[in-house]
Amino acid sequence: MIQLRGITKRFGDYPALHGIDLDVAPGEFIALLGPSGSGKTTLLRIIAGLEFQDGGSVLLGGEDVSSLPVARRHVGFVFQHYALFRHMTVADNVAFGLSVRRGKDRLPKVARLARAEELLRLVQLEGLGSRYPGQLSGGQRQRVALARALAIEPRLLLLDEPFGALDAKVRKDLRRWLRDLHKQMGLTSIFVTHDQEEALELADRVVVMNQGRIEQIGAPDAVYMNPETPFVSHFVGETNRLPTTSGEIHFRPHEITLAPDGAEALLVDNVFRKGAVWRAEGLLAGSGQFVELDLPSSGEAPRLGETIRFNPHRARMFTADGAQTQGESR
Amino acid sequence: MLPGFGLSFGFTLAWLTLIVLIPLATIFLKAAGLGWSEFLAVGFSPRAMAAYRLSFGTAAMAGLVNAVFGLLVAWVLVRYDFPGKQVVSALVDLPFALPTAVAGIALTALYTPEGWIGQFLEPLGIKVAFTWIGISIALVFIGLPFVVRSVEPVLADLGREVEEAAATLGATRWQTFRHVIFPAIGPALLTGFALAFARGVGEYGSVIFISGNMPGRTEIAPLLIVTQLEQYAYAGATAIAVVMMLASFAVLLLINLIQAASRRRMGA
Amino acid sequence: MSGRSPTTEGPLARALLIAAALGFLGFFLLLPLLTVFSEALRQGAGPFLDALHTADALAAIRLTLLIAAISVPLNVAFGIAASWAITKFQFPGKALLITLIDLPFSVSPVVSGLIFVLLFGANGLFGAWLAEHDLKIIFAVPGIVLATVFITFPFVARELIPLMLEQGKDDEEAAISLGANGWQTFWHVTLPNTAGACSMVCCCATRAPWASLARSRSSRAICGARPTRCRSISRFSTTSTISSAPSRSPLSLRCSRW
Repeated sequence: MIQLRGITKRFGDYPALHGIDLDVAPGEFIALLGPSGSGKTTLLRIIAGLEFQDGGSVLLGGEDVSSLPVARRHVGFVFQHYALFRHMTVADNVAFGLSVRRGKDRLPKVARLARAEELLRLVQLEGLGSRYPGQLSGGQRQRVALARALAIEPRLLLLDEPFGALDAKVRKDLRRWLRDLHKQMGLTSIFVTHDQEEALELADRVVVMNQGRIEQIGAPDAVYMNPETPFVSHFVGETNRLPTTSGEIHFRPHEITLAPDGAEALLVDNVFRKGAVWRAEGLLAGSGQFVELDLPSSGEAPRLGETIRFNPHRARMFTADGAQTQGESR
Repeated sequence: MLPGFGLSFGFTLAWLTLIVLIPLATIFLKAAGLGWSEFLAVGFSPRAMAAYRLSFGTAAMAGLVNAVFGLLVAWVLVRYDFPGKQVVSALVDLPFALPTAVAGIALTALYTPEGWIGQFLEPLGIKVAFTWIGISIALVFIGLPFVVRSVEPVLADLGREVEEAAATLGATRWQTFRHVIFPAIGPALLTGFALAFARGVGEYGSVIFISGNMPGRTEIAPLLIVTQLEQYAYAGATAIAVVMMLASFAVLLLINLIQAASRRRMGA
Repeated sequence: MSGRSPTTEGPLARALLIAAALGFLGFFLLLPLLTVFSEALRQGAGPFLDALHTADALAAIRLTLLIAAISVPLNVAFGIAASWAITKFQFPGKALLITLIDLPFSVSPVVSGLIFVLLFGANGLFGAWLAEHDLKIIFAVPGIVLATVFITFPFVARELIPLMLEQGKDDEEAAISLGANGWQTFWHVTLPNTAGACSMVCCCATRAPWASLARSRSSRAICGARPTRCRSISRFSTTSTISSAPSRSPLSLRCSRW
């Protein structure tokens, strides 16, 4: 169990985190989602002890570890670029955390290598222990990094943009694999990502961050369906915005009803297939606002230059100060 | 596949042959004129053997000292901030810039029994000037920049992430240095050592003042060559030169092979 | 609430390391430097400055610049070709080639001086031919240029190889794929990428002949107070072996007769 209490951090004059509070239950899989510069990586590094907060405290399992150095926190950390030791074999990389132990915790070499082999089996890299990291593919390196972090039997696993440097196909496979691994091991885990799809697919709960603050914490479905702030609405999933006198109306491309007498009219200037739907893009008559709509692909594709009349059916209204005034359709 | 291999490789080989290989070959040619038995007699005479032992021994000693302290200096220059860092960094290049003979005279002046340092060592019974210790000190002076300038860029390029990774796995700072940082900069340190060593073996100007030049005891190999020349024994001079060059070449080749192997292994 | 970053040492360890490094440098570099100045200025600054302003010294400076102007471009061209071949391609015997390039580093200046005398001296390999055509290499500018090129030969390649290795060949391959030919790629991609190192290398390569020439000249100026040692100083290093006037250097005089 992790408890963050009022974490603040400044880099020189730049405030990176303004008082972050967060509770993570044992076994939970948490995504820290946000654009670059939102403070998500800084927060992750503070939990690990790679960075130290200016104010507030970090509690792991009820114990205040705020001043405990990283080496004594027993936290597994997977780095964005893996940070494997290039001069060591894969097995030595995985066993590193065991081989630097001193005193009674120190295992004999045979036991360390057996443990490494066991972990390599877990990450499906059996038999590659004698290779060097330079001889592996990106996805394999990522799994070595994970096995290395797991070797110290951490009480918490932290992953910084774990799939950031991989290509789309490998990324998708690894994502599913990581989710299964988490289910299997039940280890409390936090990962940082800027990819909302990744966050929504993997996490039990998503923490959306922006400019050093938490915007919303919730289950993926809740964050997607009921964004609490304009930022979340815009950052998580696709959103159309209609300015009004008192603020903004947000609705997703599929949250519309086609109606011949609809209040809005879209002049189509681009159409393409987006998976199972037609995506029509264009400007609204009157306001000239750019809008994207999803139309059932069972029907015919909208034609360029056509006007589509519709009503948003699940719109959210945000006032100028960001407060949400109205939940459902207008 | 990039173009230009034929041109660049051909030009490299041609220029190398013209500037290095042909001139060096003349040494071998001249030495070959001696005949085998005479070559052995001159090139491996007791006096020559003592000179090789001294030259290679002191160069290795100085190389080791420089490997340790050069690494320390590079570390301090890359990792820490302190007032006067720029000056210190410039000071490291001093042995490159200072004429070697000037360095030799200065070091001798320092370490003779009347010198600034020698006067404190004399009562302790430690003799530096005109002994192998003095020669080693001169070679430390000459070789330091090679080590510092080899290690510095590699150390600066070393990602902080691997050190952080080691820390998250529970390694102490010393364990991180020993198991993660040191192996990563090892090849560069080896290069620096090799360059300092090779330079030390052939060094002349800065050494002959402080060495005392006693045949069989503090006579370095390059000086032996000069001595041979002064006795008009040109072939003998080339015999000693050949032995020295082959030894240096073997050391350099060995180190380059080690480097190539470690590069291949790390898949870079 | 402030802890220490895991990638640095505690203040005490840091202070100790800095102190050790500075102590070493002070002992091995600074102290000799101070001795040089104290020796040079023992008789006051006057004689020292006079020595620097002699026609000899000025001629030496002019000669150094001339030699640098000839030898540096030669070595830069070689260094770029060599590092291009070594870093962008795979071929057998690479370690051997690198070792051969390094070789002049390890050849004693005494030996390299000897080599050029063996080649171009009066009784050298090309000595007779040179005399016949009234060409002078030893004790003339061509000889000094040759010696300088030999000594500074590895500098450029040694600096460029690690740099080019690190940069890889992505940029070059991108340029080729965009339709650039080999020379265009070299001029517009490789050269700008390595320009920083190239200019640094030029400094190094210029410094080397300067230092070796300065060896014979400025040491004479500096050791003005020790006349007995001056004679021997002028014959150190390759350059001085074959460049200093015969009357000043017994060694080169003998070599030239040989």
